[in-house]
Amino acid sequence: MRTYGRLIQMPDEASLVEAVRHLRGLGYSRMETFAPWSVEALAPRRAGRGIAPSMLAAGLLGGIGTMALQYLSAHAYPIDAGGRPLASWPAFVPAALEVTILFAVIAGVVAFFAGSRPALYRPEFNVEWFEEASRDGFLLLIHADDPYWNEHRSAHDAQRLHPLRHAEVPA
Amino acid sequence: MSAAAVTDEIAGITLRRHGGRGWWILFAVSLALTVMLAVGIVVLLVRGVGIWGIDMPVAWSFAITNYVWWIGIGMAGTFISAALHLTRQAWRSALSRHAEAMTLCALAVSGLFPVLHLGRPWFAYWIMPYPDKMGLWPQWRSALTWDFFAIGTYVVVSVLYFYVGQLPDLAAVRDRATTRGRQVFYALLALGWRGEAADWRRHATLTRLLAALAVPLVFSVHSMVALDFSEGLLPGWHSTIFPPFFVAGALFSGIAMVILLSLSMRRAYGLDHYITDVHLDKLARLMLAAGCVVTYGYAAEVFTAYYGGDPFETAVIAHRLHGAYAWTFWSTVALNSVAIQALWWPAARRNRLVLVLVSSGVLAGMWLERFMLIVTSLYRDYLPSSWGMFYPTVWDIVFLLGSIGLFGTLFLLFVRWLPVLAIAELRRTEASR
Repeated sequence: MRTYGRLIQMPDEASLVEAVRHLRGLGYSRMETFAPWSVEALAPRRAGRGIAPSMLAAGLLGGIGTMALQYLSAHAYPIDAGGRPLASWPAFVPAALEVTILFAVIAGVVAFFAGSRPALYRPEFNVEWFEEASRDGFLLLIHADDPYWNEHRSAHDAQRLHPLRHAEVPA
Repeated sequence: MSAAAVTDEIAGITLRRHGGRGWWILFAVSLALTVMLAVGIVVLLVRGVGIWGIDMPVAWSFAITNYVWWIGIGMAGTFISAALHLTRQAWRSALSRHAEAMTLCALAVSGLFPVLHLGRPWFAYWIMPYPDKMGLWPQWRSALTWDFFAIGTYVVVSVLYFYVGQLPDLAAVRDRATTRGRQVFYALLALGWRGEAADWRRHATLTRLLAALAVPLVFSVHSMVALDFSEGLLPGWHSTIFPPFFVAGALFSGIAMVILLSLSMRRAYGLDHYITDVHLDKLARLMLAAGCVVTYGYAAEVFTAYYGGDPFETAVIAHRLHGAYAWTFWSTVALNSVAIQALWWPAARRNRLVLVLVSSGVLAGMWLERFMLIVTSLYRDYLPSSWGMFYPTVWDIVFLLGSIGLFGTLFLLFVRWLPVLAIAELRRTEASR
């Protein structure tokens, strides 16, 4: 049976942070942590960085694009309503503003999912107590493709963290 | 209360097999009203908008009143969720989820009316810009086109904000589901959320940015609704105070609905320890503040009309105060301005009966206010030759009651299928106590 990694449950937030620090010190580099809420100390600093720029870019594209579309159609297909100017920009602002927000929000959500790579199935779901992560559990997964991974040594390292429990995750 | 207990309790409400007798009774009533609305829509499509009481000069009435009323009710959800999120008000956690759900349900109802009111609703897509061989483009200067962009954006953004916000909660329900069907259903919705540290940070970044965009969006949408009126030259509509006045009115009625829904959910599911008297107190204060701004709006309208001295403006205000529909103005003032004064007293803000009565009064009052604004400007305009009355038909009533039924049906389905409170946020709040 192939192994995906080893899942470890720590008693609380502080011990999870400490465990990650300890394992990194030993040489592990392919780890993931799961918690019922955001643990600031564990999140990689670059996570979420792409979201704001993509929202800004898409928002500008939406706003400028809608303004351009309105100018284009007002001139290409003129509607003379009471002699008012064809390209009446104050009247073009409402639609442009809404599309700016629309594009920015859609881009943000797309960037979020692109970063978090949604998948309906993950091997760690096979460990029965993985569901503790959405309750009050603080979990740590060492991936088997970690360069420092060794089945026996990793089990031993996990045991030395004094976890609540740990188990092998089958691939 | 521990983080685990919060998760188990709220996920448990979602996963409970039966909604309870009260849920079924309410659902049956709402569904019956929704069926009535569906019949109304079919009749409208076959016979046209003539089935309503509208005619010249009162060409706008119940449908536009319902539209403005429902979209206003929807505002408070996004406001409570987004604006209070940005200002780091932790107490919003107990209210944000059902307030957002209320927004979505209200929007779904609201969006129907401008389309149905078009006269030929099957051509509604003509207000979208799309390349067609007839060379047809929307009239960009038309408030109807602005409405399309405003409502369309508001719907999409509200759905995304609602959905993204509850990804961790859907995962919590998925993890607790026992039947295969439910596991698959919630797994599909949760999209593999695991509570991974990087995901939490991405999630926090996204929700903060979405909230930052949602706040100006709700203000712009309600200002847009107001511009539908103030862009017109009719006395009583052509007013610069309309956008902020409409925003305040929307917040006012929306908070009233949030109070009613919070009280109902608290009672139905025993959520007193989440939705506490403190929450109701804060909501009541917000409602009072919004109500005071709305009252200022009423006073400013009367004042500017007389101060400006425009004879048509003063005539319209005089008709509002003493004309055929004066009862709508005075009921509005009684419900929206006078009744809410009770909320200055802390005891009243914590009394459930008072809150139910005042909030229901505000909802009715805001509907009457929208009706009054629309009809009293239309039934007496510049030319006495074009004066006329509006009398609602049975179909007007069918659409009003049906819209309430549709809202109820959608909200009851939300209560039954999705987590009713923001589990992840409450978990955090409880654990950090």
